Amino acid sequence: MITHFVCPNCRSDLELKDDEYRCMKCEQIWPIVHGIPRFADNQISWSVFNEDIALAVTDIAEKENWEKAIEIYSHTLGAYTLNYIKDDSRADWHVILPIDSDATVLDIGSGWGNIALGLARWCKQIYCCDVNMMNLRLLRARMRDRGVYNVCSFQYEPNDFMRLPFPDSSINVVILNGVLEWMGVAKIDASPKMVQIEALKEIRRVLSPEGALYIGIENRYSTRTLRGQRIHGELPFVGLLPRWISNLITKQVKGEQHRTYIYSYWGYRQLLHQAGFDQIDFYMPYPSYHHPHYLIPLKPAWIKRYWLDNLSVSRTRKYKIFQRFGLSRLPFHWLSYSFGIRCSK
Amino acid sequence: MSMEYKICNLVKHYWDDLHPNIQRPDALVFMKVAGKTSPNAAIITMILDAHYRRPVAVAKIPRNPKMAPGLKCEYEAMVHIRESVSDIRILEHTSCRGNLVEYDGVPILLQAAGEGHPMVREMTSRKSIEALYEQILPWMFGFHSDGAEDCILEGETLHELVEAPIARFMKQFKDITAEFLSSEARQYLKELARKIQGRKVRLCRQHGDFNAHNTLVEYNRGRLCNFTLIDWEDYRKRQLPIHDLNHFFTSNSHLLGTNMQPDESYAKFIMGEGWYRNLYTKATADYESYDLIDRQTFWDLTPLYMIEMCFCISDVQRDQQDTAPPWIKRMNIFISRHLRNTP
Repeated sequence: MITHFVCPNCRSDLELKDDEYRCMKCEQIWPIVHGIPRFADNQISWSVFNEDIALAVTDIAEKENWEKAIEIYSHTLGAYTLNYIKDDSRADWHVILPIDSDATVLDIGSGWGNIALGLARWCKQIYCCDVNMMNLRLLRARMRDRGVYNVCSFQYEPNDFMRLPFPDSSINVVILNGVLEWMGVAKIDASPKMVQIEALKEIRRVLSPEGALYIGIENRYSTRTLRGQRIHGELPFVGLLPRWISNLITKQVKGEQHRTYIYSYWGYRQLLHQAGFDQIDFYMPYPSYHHPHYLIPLKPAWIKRYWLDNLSVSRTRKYKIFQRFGLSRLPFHWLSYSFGIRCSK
Repeated sequence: MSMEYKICNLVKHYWDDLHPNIQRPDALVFMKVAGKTSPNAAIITMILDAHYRRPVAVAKIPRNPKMAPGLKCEYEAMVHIRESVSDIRILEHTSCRGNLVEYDGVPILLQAAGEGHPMVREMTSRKSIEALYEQILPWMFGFHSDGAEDCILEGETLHELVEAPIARFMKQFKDITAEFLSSEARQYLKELARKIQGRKVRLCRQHGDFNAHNTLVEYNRGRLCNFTLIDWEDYRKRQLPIHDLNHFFTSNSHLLGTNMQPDESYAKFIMGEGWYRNLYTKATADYESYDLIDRQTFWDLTPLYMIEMCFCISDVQRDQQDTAPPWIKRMNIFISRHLRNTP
């Protein structure tokens, strides 16, 4: 596979030498670890398994096969997590994106490659990047077992403003599914919002003019957060408060800042405008952006009403009341659990 | 170019195949709707007329573009139904207009969209269920009897329709049957072919997945005014008339009990005394009047329906190992009761 990485620091061409990439301009060296380019000095340990098990799973997956490795340790996961990492339908939103057999796709925060697996059949090449080397090794083993050979992975730096190793306008579709909120966690002296805007600007840089960015993310003011559900491990209700108050409370209780910022419908619109995206289309993934069984466009406005009145299979009293009083006419998407957002330059 | 854009163009291009007597809309809206989540299933999308705010087409896109057996099966079913159903009143309750087209090497099934909402939402009370069944079951019986073929269960036919599925089941699910199939049921299956040899039935078409999720209903002032059967990928022609009726009752019975295992709801609502069971026995009596199968043969052959469900109809699309035990448990319950002459 031919990869077209450039230096994330100065965007000059890289030279491949033995087990490393060397920037031809700034001479920065980027090592290749376990056969995977590492454009990072740090990494964040994130896995559905604890670190020891994750190591054992990776080992079995690489030496034997991915399916077997997961099977052996499946008892340590709940049914939901197991389904989450195996469900092939999680990338079904690709139907609204400009992905065709010539497209190059970048999946940022690819985890174990569930989404990449769903997309790889539809595009020419897909780049997967993650902040954790173990995830990337597991992803590679999984792709090998499924006979998918158009996936290339690399590790990126979590504790900095995002820098992608690609030339300008070189990617057709970028995926940020459940990732944008975590970008603010970067251990740098900048507000989470600033980190997110810079990441979005960087993504915009690598997007081709006719390309699109897809974001799957929670809504700050959803029925769940209003009920006090903890999102991203934050304290209940804290995300609803003004940021300075939520920071204060989180610092008092947990000893650290509130940095996993999520936004409202209008908040995302503003954030994306600030990052330079002009065309922004919102969708309501139902039941959630993790499992987008329905993907309801929020424009025109009658569509979500049509969906609720005609396609819902709910038999609850709550639904009957909702329908009887014509509440589907209200902008209930403001309280949707999550959004799917398609944006282009 | 996105699939959304391509599909809207295809709908416009093949408009006359979908709605020959309606003017083509200028603006369309695209929405992805729920479908099966298995690796080889289709991604289902709905296309709506932006002006009249109604669905005009459904497009099914294979989740794996190199593997689309479900779409081909469904298209063949649509063609067969269009060509073989002689009664227009039966045909108008099916969603069988459309085309299987290829775009960039990807097969895409375009269908005329059915109006209404899933019947499952209306199954909230005994009264509403009885009202629904009252209209839908006679249609099902008519759909089956239209063009049905006389047949005597003997020789090759008996082997193909009865002996072979049982043998395949016992072989393919050897380990699972060892654990779940009762000795009584095992013995019953062993003797079934001999028991029904020489009986007359009429072979007919079967939808294959006739249930409340695949039936769209339209209401006008609280009354059911129209319904449409969708999702034809499990359709089969020349079948024993046991599948659809059993599946309609069995699959829907799961909606009646909350937090019940499938075999528990089957035992309670279909095998246990009560209004739903009465509805089921009445339906089998009505079915008999369509001259497709006599009631005794219907009961005798019902375990074959459970066997078919173990194969999950479209073998390639679902995980057989997970679905077989509940169907085997239902079979045990049915056979146990049937052998006591009270099916």
